[in-house]
Amino acid sequence: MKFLRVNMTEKSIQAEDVPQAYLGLGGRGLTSIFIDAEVTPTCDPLGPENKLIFAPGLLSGTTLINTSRISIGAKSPLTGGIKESNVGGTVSAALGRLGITAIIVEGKAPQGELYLLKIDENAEARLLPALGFKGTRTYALVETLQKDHGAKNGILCIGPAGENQLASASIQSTDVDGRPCRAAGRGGLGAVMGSKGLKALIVSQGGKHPDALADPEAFKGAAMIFAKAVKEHPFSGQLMPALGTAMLVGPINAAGAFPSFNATQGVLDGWERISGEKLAETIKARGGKSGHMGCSQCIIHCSNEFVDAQGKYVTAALEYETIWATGGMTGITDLDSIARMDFLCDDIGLDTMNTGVAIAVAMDAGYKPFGDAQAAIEMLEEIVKGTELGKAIGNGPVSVGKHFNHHRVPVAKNQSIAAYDPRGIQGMAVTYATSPMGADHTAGWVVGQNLAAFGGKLDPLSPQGQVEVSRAAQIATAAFDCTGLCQFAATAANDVPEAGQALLTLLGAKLGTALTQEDVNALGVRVIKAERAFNRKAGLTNKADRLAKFFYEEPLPPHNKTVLVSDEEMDRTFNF
Amino acid sequence: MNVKVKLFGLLPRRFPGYNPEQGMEVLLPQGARVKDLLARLDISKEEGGIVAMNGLVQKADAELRDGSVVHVFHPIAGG
Repeated sequence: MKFLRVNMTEKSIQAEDVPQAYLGLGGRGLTSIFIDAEVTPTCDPLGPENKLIFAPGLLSGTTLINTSRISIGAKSPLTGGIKESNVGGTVSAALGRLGITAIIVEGKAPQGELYLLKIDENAEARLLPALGFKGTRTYALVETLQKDHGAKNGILCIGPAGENQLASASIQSTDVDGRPCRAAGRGGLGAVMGSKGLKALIVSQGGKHPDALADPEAFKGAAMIFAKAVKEHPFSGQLMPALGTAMLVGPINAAGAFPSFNATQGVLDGWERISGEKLAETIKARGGKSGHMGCSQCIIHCSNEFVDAQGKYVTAALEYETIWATGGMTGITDLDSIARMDFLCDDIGLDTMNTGVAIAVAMDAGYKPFGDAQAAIEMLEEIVKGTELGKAIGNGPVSVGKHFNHHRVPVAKNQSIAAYDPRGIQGMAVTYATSPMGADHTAGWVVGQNLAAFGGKLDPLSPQGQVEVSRAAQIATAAFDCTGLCQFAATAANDVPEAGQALLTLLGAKLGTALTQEDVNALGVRVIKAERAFNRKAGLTNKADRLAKFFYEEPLPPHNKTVLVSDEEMDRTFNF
Repeated sequence: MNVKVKLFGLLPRRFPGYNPEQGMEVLLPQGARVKDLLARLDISKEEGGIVAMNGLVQKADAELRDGSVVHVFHPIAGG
């Protein structure tokens, strides 16, 4: 249990015991409570006062399946508020096995300097000069780093977008095959890492000293029950390996809630060409991989490897949200172009969602026609060239809206919405508007409850009851994001009572204290309170808990609804 | 009455000869509801959790209309 504090101004590294105030925290709970306590809310997100914290989940580094999420936190240059963005891959488990609770990057290297942070199998950390990697894209970077430092390292890194401190810059993570194809995409954390002068974290996967479990026997038994439930659940055991997240393209279009052509249509004409079914069929016919393992200790295998017509690798883990942002929003219904854009975003180090939506706003403003894949790809390359337009695209949809003086910019707190239109699923309006993270679908995903035929009365087109379901989902998610578990494993915990109980046992066996569901909910509330407290001090009041104005004014076909959740109802979401 | 059913995800595998372009016609008594259609196709609620009729998602008790196109999807989860 230790913090590594890396001061980029002084180039010093200090290991310290985890301070009392942070004991028992991990993942998002740790990053958010830390940022609220240690970062000046009004600071420049790209200045020396901001801090970038990397925290594996509470259960990362244990033997439990699917515990490979790492939370990354800072003040966001995109939203101006607190940010936690989490990603799978290999680094979380690696840090957990080294007994590292968090890495905190402070200060700022002098202009023009660039470093690597290397952590070896004994948890010894060093800063290494990396000027030779200036401007290097992520695939080329990790290939060289793996040659220089060995393939048994997990890597978190930035591309040119992060170095150029653009507000859509991601932090990319290597998957189990060593490719930088998984992203902590949201909120511009890549820009914060770039501002510090840090190009990559290289973490040994050979650690053998995870924190001791308080009750190893109880942990072992509960871990087996949990794994069995995840494997046997139809969603995580069958559907996700067969179709991946892209399985959502069909149902969300059927619901009329797939924001298309920059959120002017709720059904994408031709969605069948980019559906999960079509993706799986295409991958199979070309000899790519579905049911691919992306993250350490994963037994779900929702990832895929997309290959071109010649069977050559294009990108890994073509995901629903990316297909939507670069396909649905831009009107590009061609998987090959979408896969190319996904690769370019990973390689340049960009959030596919914020960037796809930025391109869609440019198209809607008349810069290029919808559906023009070549133009979309050129816009991505403009980002690397650093032209005025490239900077606008790389800084996200609001920046593009200003560049073209265009009003239809689908965001909350400057961050793009995800692949569920808030007018077609009103509960997502609540989550997007009120999440301290800005529009973030993972912060409180209420899509299933709204669309399910069985068990529930929510009408996706009505505001009735949406605040309550969003509140409950946001609290549950804030707690779950502390664990390091993948949200796709949560389904079994929610649906199978023994798995839900097993999760409480696992957390208790790690921490050495018996936990109830109420304790877990209280943790979720504590995390959200810290996030909202930071945001208020940063100047984001309840007036920021709103969606872009056009969502309240422009009806979305085919249901022709606007967002119907009132401001007063939005303000009721966090009634604690 | 007749409805045209289109199946998604892993559901088509359950019906040999199913044509994804055409879907399949299902004959039901007048007044049949979404849950009756699923029961008729032997699709459990764990398998078929989202049903849309003519582009609008439906609850299990919703009445079907003759000549409708009904899309059946798996339950969804995650984020």
